[in-house]
Amino acid sequence: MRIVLTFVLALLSACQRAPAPAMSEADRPGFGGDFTLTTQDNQPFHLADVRGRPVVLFFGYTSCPDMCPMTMSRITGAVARAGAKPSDVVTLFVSVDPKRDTPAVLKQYVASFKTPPIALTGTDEEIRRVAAEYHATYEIVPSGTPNYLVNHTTAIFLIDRRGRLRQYFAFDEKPETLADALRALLDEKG
Amino acid sequence: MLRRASSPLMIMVSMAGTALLAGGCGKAEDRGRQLYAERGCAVCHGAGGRGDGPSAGRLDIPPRDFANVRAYRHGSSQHDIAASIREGSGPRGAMPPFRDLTDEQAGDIAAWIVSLQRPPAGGPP
Repeated sequence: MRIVLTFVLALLSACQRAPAPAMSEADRPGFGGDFTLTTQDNQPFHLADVRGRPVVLFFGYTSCPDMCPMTMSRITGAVARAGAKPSDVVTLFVSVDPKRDTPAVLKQYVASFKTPPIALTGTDEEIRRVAAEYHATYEIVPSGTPNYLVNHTTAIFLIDRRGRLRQYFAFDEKPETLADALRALLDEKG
Repeated sequence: MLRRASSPLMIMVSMAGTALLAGGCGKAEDRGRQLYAERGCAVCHGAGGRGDGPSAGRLDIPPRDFANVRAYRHGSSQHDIAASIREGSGPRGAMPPFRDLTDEQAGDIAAWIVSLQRPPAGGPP
């Protein structure tokens, strides 16, 4: 099963634009889970810290020229469309480019949003561990320039109030579908 | 007998309804400014649209200063800008397509961007 999930998520990598159907089988042991990383404020962050609120999780990087801006726009739009107050939902942006995305860089990044997400970084090892929990992958594309690209899983993960991974979506999922899924999580009791 | 439907009151009601259907209350550029802030456009374009967002310097194709009408690569009209927002503006590395936005939302953001434009120094090209 792990191989199948990894394969599906690999199809949702930055090189692929093919839409994928909403997945509903993420709620199983060994997929998702708690983790610890470092916020844009250089503070430790545990997923358990935001227990009680639905979480939207995305792996990306601040220098990304395409998938990340598109996906973050889609996520913020879905939160608004779901009728949620910004404080009702936690958006996590996990950097897959820890070398460039220092807490200071992430702090500037989140300040560019009216409702800032929580941006997370860590050592490469820490981030790889979190990515593996979510069957996500990332890989730097060698370019010989400072403006290198990072291929990465572009799925949007939805985590419920109890910290359980519930669904994941393609980055280009319809905003209304994302919003419906988010609304369903908001309607659930903690 | 048919009743006239074009009384001043009916016209006002009709206009108000049309405005609401077109995207809500307020001016397009105000709605656009709000959307621009919500969706994180400032990451690349900067809070004031000067092309100086925190990620701008790390892009191969840097964003333009919206104030400079000569800098637009695909037209500086509201229509052209809205099309660039929805469809993207070129090869990888340039502005990607934001198809999650409706045509109206893209038009509102474009209206705000147009409001930032300044006449070129030295007059028209």
